[in-house]
Amino acid sequence: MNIGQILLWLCLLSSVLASISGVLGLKRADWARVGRFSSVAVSSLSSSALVVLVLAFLRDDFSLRYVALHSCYDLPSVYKLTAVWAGQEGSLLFWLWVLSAFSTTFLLRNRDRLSDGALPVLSLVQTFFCLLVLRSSPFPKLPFVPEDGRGLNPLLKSPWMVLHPPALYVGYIGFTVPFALSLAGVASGDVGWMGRSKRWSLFSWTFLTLGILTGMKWSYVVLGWGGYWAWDPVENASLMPWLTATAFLHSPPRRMSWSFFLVVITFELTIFGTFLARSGFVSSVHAFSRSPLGYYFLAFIVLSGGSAGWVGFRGRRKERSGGGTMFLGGLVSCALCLVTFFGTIFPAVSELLSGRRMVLGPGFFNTIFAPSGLFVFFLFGICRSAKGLKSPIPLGLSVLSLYLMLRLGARGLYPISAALFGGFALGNILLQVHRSLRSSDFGRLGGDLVHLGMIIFTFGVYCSSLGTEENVEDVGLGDDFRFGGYNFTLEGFSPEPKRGAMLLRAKLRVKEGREEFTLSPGMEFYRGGETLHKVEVRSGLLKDLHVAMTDVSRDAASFYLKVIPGTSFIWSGGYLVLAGALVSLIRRKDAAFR
Amino acid sequence: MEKLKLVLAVAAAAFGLSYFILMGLKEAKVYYLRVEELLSSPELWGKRVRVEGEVVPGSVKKGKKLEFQMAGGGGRIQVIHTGPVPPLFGEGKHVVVEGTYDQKEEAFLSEGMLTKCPSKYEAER
Repeated sequence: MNIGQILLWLCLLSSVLASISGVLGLKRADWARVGRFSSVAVSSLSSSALVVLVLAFLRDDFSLRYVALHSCYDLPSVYKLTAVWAGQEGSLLFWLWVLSAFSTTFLLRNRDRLSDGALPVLSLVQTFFCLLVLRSSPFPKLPFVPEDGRGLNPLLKSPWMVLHPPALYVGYIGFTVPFALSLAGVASGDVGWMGRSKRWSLFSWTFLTLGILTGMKWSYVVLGWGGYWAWDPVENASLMPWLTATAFLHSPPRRMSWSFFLVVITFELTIFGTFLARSGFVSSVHAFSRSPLGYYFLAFIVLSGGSAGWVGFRGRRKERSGGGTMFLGGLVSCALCLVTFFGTIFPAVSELLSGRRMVLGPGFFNTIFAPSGLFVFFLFGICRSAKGLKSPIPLGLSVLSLYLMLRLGARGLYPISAALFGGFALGNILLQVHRSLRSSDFGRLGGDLVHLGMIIFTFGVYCSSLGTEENVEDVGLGDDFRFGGYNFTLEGFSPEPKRGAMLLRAKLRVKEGREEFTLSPGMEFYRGGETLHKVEVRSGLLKDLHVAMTDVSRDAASFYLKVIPGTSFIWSGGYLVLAGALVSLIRRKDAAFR
Repeated sequence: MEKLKLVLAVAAAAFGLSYFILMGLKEAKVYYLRVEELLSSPELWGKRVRVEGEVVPGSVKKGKKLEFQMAGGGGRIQVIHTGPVPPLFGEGKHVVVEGTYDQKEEAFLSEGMLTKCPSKYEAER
């Protein structure tokens, strides 16, 4: 029994205590105080456990099995830190830690009856994660101390991967607080839960967005070779709660049951995502461990979803209508989530029903998301537009973008309608931005910026999915070839020794019109026999050039080339969405951040 | 009146949604098989399918096209792959290929390949 393991047991103990006194605290306020106290204990204990693990990584303590499997002496310190959540055991501990930090923050800032009601929910969820961490703990020791660790998977050694998992986790876990608030509110009839949940949800939504974006970026530059989204189950798992949370953020305050439903479903989807990743229920390009842990998550979903349904049914009231385009936007978002859900579980369901496994390619999702994107453009175009409709700007931009699209040579239903609707939406949103700026309404401005970002983002997605060209070229030393308007010459190779690996880069001279530059895609050969491809990306405003070296010999090499238009819009749109969400978080007054 | 409107709206939405789902299904549904399943289902030969298996060590030949043998569950097929080869392809690796099985050539003509990516967690145990 080592110190980490002891801390985890104490953590479970205080978490159980918090749950029991939390439930008793629903009747008597002094029990709630005991519950709050135990909650603080949970977060200090889990923080200590995490510190123990982090220290083990930083001090290369390979006597811990988990550290030996995910780190090695050669690893740069930053990646030793990120290796903490590189495996299942560590990421579960990280999850528990963030969850306890959130609930403690929430409980310390709120001391009213509503938060007393949220306390048992938060503690029960915490208890569940305590049990999981104990079941799959990062602290068991090896019977011997290995000389060096196995090291981190080279694909994870990317700055985007430093950011991606924690952002995603924080996004996921943050939805636990709205879930607890909504249960407490509906059960006690206190309508104050909605305002507070909105702020917490916006916070989590912002992190979830950051997590998704960094994941896309990582895939774009490291793994996917210019692909940023493959409709893989694990990607879908992060998109689904994002969609329902988006719907909740747009849900009008008067629609109480609808909002309750959305908050609960968002929470369940975050757990479902973890289930998908762990259970092997659907196969993913991400090969996860098929641990039996997955079914704990499923059981938890049934239990928590069931109780939430019961609370919702007991506390139901007559639903009031209204909400206009915002509500409609939420509905579209939910419908897209439903489709994504269907497409994600389809392989498993088809196997269950017909005995044969069938899968859905990206085509399935694209056929549905592409027209829905147009409809969202349409909603952006008419939202809050009483004045906008009188202004000539939306219509003008609509015609202008159609003209540009035709000049660029795009034909077909999608480019043309995307230009028409997109231009109109852009015009309307720009008007809103202008109005918010003039009246210094920064709360509103945040939302407008998010919408503006979404238009730019979606435009980028349309461009890249309609206009990407790819090719494979085998080239001898000194030879040249043409592709996508570029001229390439293979000038030579340069080897670079690295820590624990050997990097071989090609020197590829590229000419485009009068511009000349050198790209050096490479292959990294690791001691363990793995190869990693160093993809080179030349980013421009309108298009990106991707070059990967796929094979190399003494005097020849093969390259995989891709020209992708519009991706700069994807990233800049994404950053704008994040910026807008931040502005909203800081400046919106209508939802109290408590 | 309110109710009728609501019912109509829901019906329209449900209809639209299921229409798109059916369209999408028709467009993108493919069978996902292991190697021995493909070999034992002649009715799927010549149809577009995805096959999962392990690249047999020592079988990889790189020419204009990539040729290798793929094994899974006791079965083994020859694969002829055209198009880009993903970064993690290698002998002994788990891959998924998409294409058709050609009976005359006795080979699987692959046009797309995915490698199983160990991106976050340890390999399957």
